[in-house]
Amino acid sequence: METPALEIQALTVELLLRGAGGVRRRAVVRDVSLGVRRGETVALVGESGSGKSTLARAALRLLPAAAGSVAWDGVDVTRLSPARLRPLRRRIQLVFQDPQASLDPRMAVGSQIAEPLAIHRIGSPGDRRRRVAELLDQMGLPRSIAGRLPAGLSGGQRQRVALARALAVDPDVLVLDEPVSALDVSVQAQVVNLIVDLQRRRGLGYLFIGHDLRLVRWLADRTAVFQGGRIVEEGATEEVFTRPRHPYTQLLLTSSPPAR
Amino acid sequence: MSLSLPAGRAHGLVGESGSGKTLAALAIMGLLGDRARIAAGAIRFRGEDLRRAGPRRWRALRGHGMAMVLQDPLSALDPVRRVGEPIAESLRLHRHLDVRGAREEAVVLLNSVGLPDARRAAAAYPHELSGGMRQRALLAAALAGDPSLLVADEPTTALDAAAREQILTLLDHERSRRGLALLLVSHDLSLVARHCDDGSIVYAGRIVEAGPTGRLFSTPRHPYTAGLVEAGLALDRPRRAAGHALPVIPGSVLPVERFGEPGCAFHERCPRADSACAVTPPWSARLPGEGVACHHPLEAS
Repeated sequence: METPALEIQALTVELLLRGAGGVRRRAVVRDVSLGVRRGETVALVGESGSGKSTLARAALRLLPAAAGSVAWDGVDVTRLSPARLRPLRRRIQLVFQDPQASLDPRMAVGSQIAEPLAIHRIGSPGDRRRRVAELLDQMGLPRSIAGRLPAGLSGGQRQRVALARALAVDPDVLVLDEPVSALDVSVQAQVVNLIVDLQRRRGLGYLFIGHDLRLVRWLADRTAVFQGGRIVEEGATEEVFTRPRHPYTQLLLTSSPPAR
Repeated sequence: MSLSLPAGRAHGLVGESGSGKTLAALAIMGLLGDRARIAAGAIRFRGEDLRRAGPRRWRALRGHGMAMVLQDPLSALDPVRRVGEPIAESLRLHRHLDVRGAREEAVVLLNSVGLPDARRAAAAYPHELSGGMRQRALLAAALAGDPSLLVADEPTTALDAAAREQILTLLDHERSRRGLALLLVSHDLSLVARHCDDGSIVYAGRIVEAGPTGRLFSTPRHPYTAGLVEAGLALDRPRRAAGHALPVIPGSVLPVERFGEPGCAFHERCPRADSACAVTPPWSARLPGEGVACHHPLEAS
């Protein structure tokens, strides 16, 4: 069987909460198992505060695991040292909801796209410039944009830059955390089409976190429903949407806008 | 921009970020502040010309005559006041209740907007409530003065799907129960179609199409409206495995610096644009409150 590009097994993530009684530990993700294959989109749905983003950050090893494991392309990274982890980080990249917050406002767009290449010491400066031009082409952005600052771009353009930056190091998996919900309605479809197209061309695996259930249904091969830090239901997207088995999934589906 | 809001009806003002829809809502509430002003036109509320209203009159109107609900309830609520306090204050001011009566009435009001343990919620601080509960509390505060106009600016955008429909249903309910005129400002045309009687589509600071929401949704006439409808409907079709891409409105929204340039503001993105669109399209009304500003509107087939 093919090794999943991302495999999460029995993962528990604890956050440290500082309160009146000192520091407490609270398990925000509990005993979660989930895999993402190349070319596959797996969606995480559930109300805000259910632990979706915490799971995503643990999958990226931006948060430590209290129990369980995370593997990238079959390599267990759960307890790797920062030095051992660094060269592997290029395999899995993150795109945030708000490109305004995730891009550096003072750095030219081209340099931001090239930055991960420099960090991973990939290619010569000339190679990197060529790579940036190539990525801009693929994102449907004019090459002239490379010298501009993010503030001069529209929301849709900024999210394309964030995608280019994430894809610069040729990852296997992208974690897309609400990648279009901050965009204007008329621009969302452009970015969704780009995301689909990139997957088709590069065989990327996507872990997609989304609020918009219609978009999830349209985009995802499999859907995992999150509640209180656990996956309460997981399956083929059409199966989950047409025959939800867990009461929470049923509630989630009935409370979203009806299909027309 | 021209709009008319009859009592008991809900009007959706639909536009993308930067379209000017929120500015229009703030103008109606007299909340433009120092950085913007009404340059021309009139706003009449129950026959009264609001441009003549001074600060005192505005204070009396806001809360009692008209009230507003904002997108983010956390920033609209005072973090160091208990949730019931501003509601009770409004009740004292507008309904002339005494301290104790106002406190009791605030609990009644919180209960009526669906807060399960209203007495406890009234004594809680905003951060102790969930987003949906905060928005309910804010709605209770807005209703405390028994307004006849409620302006709700993206009231559910910050909420998740379950809380969103609950709040919208609550708005529907309060509107019909109280005979409120509701102006619902939203970027989401399908949401407006489900919860409003009438709608206006705003693009680059102008209303480009208006009409009953059913008609706007089923037979849009402005190409921009049609693009928004199409983008929404496409998600209900067979999924992308079949090789479909989502239909797209090309380009991006007009930046504010370019508002008011001659010609149709949408023409650079419009599949129907031609040389005629260099001239600003006039508003052509079919019926009062229903019309389109386009040189080449789509016709119902």
